[in-house]
Amino acid sequence: MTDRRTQLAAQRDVALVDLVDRLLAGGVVIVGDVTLSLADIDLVHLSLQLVVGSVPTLAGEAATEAGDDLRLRAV
Amino acid sequence: MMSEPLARYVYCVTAAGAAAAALEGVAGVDPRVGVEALDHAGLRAVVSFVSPDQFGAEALKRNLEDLGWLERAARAHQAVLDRALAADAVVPLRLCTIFADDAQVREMLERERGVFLDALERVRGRAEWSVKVVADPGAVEEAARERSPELAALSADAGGESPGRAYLARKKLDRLLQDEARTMAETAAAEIDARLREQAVAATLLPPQHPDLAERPGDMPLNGAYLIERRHEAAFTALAGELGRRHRELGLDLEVSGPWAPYNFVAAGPQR
Repeated sequence: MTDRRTQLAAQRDVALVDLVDRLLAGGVVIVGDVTLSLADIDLVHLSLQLVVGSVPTLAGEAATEAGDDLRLRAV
Repeated sequence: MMSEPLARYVYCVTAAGAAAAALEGVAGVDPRVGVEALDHAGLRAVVSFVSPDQFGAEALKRNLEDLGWLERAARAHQAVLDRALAADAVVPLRLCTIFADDAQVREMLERERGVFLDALERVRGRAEWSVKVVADPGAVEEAARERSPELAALSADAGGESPGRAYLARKKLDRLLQDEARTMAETAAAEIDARLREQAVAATLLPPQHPDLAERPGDMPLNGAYLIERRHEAAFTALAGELGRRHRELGLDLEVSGPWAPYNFVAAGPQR
């Protein structure tokens, strides 16, 4: 199970916006000892930066994205 | 390295001893440093060293505003989670959860032990899948026009009347078309969500992605996250594919991605 599935997962090229949906908005949040909780970051500012800054990146990605990853486009 | 001690970045928590082979040779958010396991209190934190000049409070605030930096960190974090998920149940932590040293990580594991054990129990043998519905506004309106006798009649009016009447008919038609198209897309999205939930252990709705950020332009009437038994993943993606084919003529596209570590199913308390 660590063979093929891991390879596919490692090759997967997901969109940054899907990462944001999960890594920045999901996951267990630890409060207390941490250096800086992402809850402290001004996420409004952050998402604004994302909108302003990411469009060229995403366009580039869309162009290179092939059908050989785990993303299953409904056809 | 002499001046400031390195800090500990924590990616996820698994059961003690889990995913050891899967994590060998995997790079951390600092690509020069590999990830390690830190076992304590029956749990394993997957960690790596990070330097305070990049991941200290002030530096981190600055770096998180830098999209390139954020993207590199997010992809590295995700790569670690992908490897861990392939081997065992994982509880993902929010991006950039950083502690001063190993002692603090151990303290955290001890303090949050109940939360982690509950979450591990809930996600064992399961993974998160993302299904989004993207609506092409023009195509959805076209489909709505074809399906509504009233709208079809109005369309004929707008084409055939005197210039004044035609203008008013067209205005009315545009408004009705937009309403009808939105209702149609939302109804279809709700039906798709309901069908997907039948195969899910749990499900949650995320806010629609910003149109400028999403991969393709268009409205997003559904941005769903579904917790799926790993042994049922093929059936789930087959269902999503079928739903996608069936809704394409309405101007709706389904985007499916996964498996994801269960980011949206590890919060303490009842699922949203």
